[in-house]
Formats: sequence, C-alpha cells, structure tokens
Amino acid sequence: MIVIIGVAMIIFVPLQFSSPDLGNPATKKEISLPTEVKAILERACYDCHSNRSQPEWFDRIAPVSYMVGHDIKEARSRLNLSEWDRNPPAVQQLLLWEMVNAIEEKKMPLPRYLTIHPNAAVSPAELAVLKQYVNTLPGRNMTDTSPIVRSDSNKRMPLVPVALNGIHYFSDFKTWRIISTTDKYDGGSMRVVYGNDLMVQAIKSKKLPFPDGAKIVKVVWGKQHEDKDGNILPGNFQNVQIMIKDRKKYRSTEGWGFAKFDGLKLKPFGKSVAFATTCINCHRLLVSESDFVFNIPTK
Amino acid sequence: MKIIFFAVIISMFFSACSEKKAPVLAPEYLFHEEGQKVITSLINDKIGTISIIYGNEGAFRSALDPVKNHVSGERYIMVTWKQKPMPHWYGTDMNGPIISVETVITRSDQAGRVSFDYSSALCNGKLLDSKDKDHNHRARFIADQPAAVFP
Ligand code: HEC
Ligand code: HEC
Repeated sequence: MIVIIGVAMIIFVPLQFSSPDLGNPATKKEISLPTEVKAILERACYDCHSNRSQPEWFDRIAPVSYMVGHDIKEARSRLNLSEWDRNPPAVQQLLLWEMVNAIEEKKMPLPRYLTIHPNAAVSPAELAVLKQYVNTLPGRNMTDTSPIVRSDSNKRMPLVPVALNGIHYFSDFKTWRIISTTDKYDGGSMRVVYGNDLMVQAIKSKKLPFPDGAKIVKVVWGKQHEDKDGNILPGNFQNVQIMIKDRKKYRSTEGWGFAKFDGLKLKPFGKSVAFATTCINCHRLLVSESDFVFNIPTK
Repeated sequence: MKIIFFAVIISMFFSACSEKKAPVLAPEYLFHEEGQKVITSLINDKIGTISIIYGNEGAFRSALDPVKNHVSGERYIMVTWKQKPMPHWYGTDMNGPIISVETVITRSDQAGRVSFDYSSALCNGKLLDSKDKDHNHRARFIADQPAAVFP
C-alpha cells in the first residue's frame, strides 16, 4: 500500500510543476444577450468558450489540468464569447444556431466535462429558452425582396472558378438526381441538394460511409415573400456548395473536400485553404454519425 | 511530458466514446425520371410541403421565357414531399416522403390553341384528387412558374 502511494506521489507531485496555467486573457468584446439567455451560457459554456473561465480546484491539478487546458484552448479558438466581434454579424447568428444544435445533440457542454461538472448541464426548459431566442434573430424569416437577377447566358464565364483547395466549379450537377430539398429558415434560404450516381447508389444500397468519388452539390437561393396560398418561391441565387469524397486527398477534413462559390460570379469562398476547416468543424460536431452529411433521406 | 500527454489523450478517448446512432436511409424518398431538369422549387408552410417542378426541354425553355408562350409538347412534373424537421439541425426543414406527383402536358389543337392536360398521382401510380378542383387553374400554376436562377 505504502509503495503504491509512494509511486503515485513520485508521479503526481512533479506533474503539478508542469501543470498548464489556466489563466484568462483580457475580455475584448463580450457577446450581448438577454439576461436569461446569457445566464445559461455563462454557467454551461463560459469555462471553455470565453476569457472568463472559472476552473474548479480539481481542474487545476495535473493530469486533469492538461485536459482542461487543451479543451479551453481549442474551444476558444473555435468560438469565443468574449471576443464576439471577431465574427461578422451573419456568422454570429449562424454560431448561435450552431450552439443551440450542439446542446440539442448533446455534443456540448463536452460530455467528459459534464461528468465532473454536472451543474453545467442545460435542462430542456433552458434549451427551449435558447431556441426561442434564436428565433428572434434577424436572419429568421428573412425574405429576398430585391429584383431577381439572372446570369447572362450568352456571356460565357471567362475562367472556371477554382476554390482555394483546388476544387473546380462544374455545372454537370444539373443532370444529377436530387437527394434533398430544404427550407433553411434560420437564415432565410431554400436549397436543392444534388448527388452524383455514386452518391445515389450508396443511398439506395443504404451504405455508409459514402465511397470515394461520391459528390454532393447544394444550390442556395433567398426566399421570396409567401403568396396568399402559402407558396414560397426561390429569390436570388446565393451560392453553390460542394462536397467531394476522397479519403486520401482530403484526409484532414474527414475525407470530404469542401468548396463554396458565391453569387452569379461564383467567387470562391474563403481567405486561405483553411476555410475548409471551418466547414468540417460544424459538420463533424453534428453529423459524424452520418458520414458528416446532413442532407440524406432518412426515415 | 510525452507520457503525460499520452495518458491524457487516451483518457480523453475513452470518455469521448458516446453512443453512435446510425441513420436509416430512405431511398424511397428520392424521385427520378430520365431527361427532366429542375425548373424551380417551392415551399408551402401552410400545408407543410416542399416541392420541385421538373420539366423537359420544351417546358424548361418556356420557364425561362418571361412572356410564357406555351407551345405543344411541354411536360412538367411537380413532385411534392411532406416537410419534416432536418435530423441533427434545428433551423431547417427538409423533404420527407413523397405525397404527390402531378403531371402537366401541353397540346395544341388545329387552330394552334394550347391546352393543358393535368393528372395527379402518388409515386406508385395511384391517381389522386387534384389539390385544386379546377384542373386547368392548377395546370397553369405549375406550367407558369418562372425558372429559378442557376449560375
Ligand atoms: C469543457 C470545455 C467546453 C465546454 C464547457 C463547452 N465546450 Fe463547446 N467546444 C469545446 C471544444 C474542445 C470544442 C472543439 C470541438 C471538439 O473538441 O469537439 C468545442 C466546440 C464547440 C462548437 C463548435 C464550433 C465550431 O468549430 O464550429 C460549438 C458550437 C460549441 N462548442 C458550443 C458550446 C456550447 C453552446 C456550450 C455550452 C452549452 C459549450 N460549447 C461548452 C469545449 C467546450
Ligand atoms: C455552422 C454549421 C455549418 C458550417 C460552418 C458549414 N455547414 Fe455545410 N451544412 C450545415 C447544415 C446545417 C447543412 C444542412 C442544412 C441545409 O443544407 O439546408 C449543411 C449542408 C451542407 C451541404 C449539403 C450536404 C450536407 O451535408 O447536407 C454541403 C455541400 C455543405 N453543407 C457544404 C459546406 C461548406 C463548403 C462549408 C464551408 C464553406 C460549410 N458547409 C460550412 C452546417 C454547416
């Protein structure tokens, strides 16, 4: 017994000297939210997603402190509620919807954190408060009222647009099959999602993960005003988003190559190749069970 | 130092293993007919449906025509699905099962007048009542939709 304690001490005590500092950087521009909404996030998320972490004494002891330190660093890099103005307004809204979904899908607060911080759990009633709040954001019920602009079909695109990770835009998806069609009411858009033959075959044989060569193209439009019978039609074209499966080539993004082309000019999205990391981060968090794809027909 | 990190990573791995719920794919929700292009899509939240209007070449040409001069031989198919919440993303509704397939075919008589043949069926071919008692009105609604803007 004494030997075990002795060995434990030899390992445990020196560990404490290398334990990471769980300090807080200065708060820059804190998110502003209704009080009841803010209180929920402060209790459940702030330890990791803010510059106002309040680790418990046991969080500060190695080796737990390593895990906590790692989580805080990663969490802040993804979403920091104390540096909220780093995100453009549209991204802020999307992040708020993503936060609601992360909670609903039981991905956040991180399950390993919840087991030792049970008071951080978000109750169903609190989740309802958060849902109610995101439904008041301006993107909800947004309609596209500008005159519809069509591309000039006589004017050919001078060059095929290419995303920063090398994925070329292509138009043959127009002959593919539709795998899904959606009303994305959180951002006021409607979408049609196409799959190539390999994608459709995989759905038909009910096989996941999708094979190399599977491709998905999503076309996004604004939503026009509802008519008196309740019909809503597509407004202006907004963007095309692509996912291409190639396990080897796109290993760093779970085997999917991502691309997005904005507006009728099909401007490649993003400032650097790292744009694809932001794409997979959200898909990984919420749909890792369905090979990182949301739009598949399911029972 | 490396060992500590290793131990931490391993312990994280064990605690991160949560139950995986594999989805059940539903290929029967897909619609396909050779030679059809997407004209537009349509949401109706009042009745909880989401639709796609497909067309053959003639129908597609007319959908792009701002004055809609219908000619003989246009064929439109409007597929309507029931809406359902998207699994794993609160904030989007998507199509569930197909609830109707409506077909409109244009014909012209000797005087060159264009008429619209309308039929409505389930995807297994079972005929349905039209959504609109006035078949001609419904046919015109489907055939007169402008094409959605594609890049
Ligand atoms: C113990 C620390 C911890 C807590 C508490 C926590 N998170 Fe996280 N969160 C993380 C980490 C780490 C990641 C990075 C992804 C991963 O490791 O799964 C993350 C990622 C996310 C993301 C994905 C951001 C992206 O990259 O797209 C969202 C959204 C999120 N968290 C929301 C929340 C919400 C909402 C709460 C509170 C209800 C919360 N988190 C609480 C650690 C935490
Ligand atoms: C905040 C979360 C989030 C981020 C970030 C994100 N997506 Fe998605 N993506 C979704 C959701 C939710 C859907 C399904 C809803 C819909 O399409 O209407 C989706 C659907 C898709 C689809 C259709 C296939 C599928 O998985 O359903 C493609 C293609 C796609 N996204 C590409 C991208 C690309 C490219 C990026 C990065 C530029 C990106 N996504 C970033 C949440 C996200």
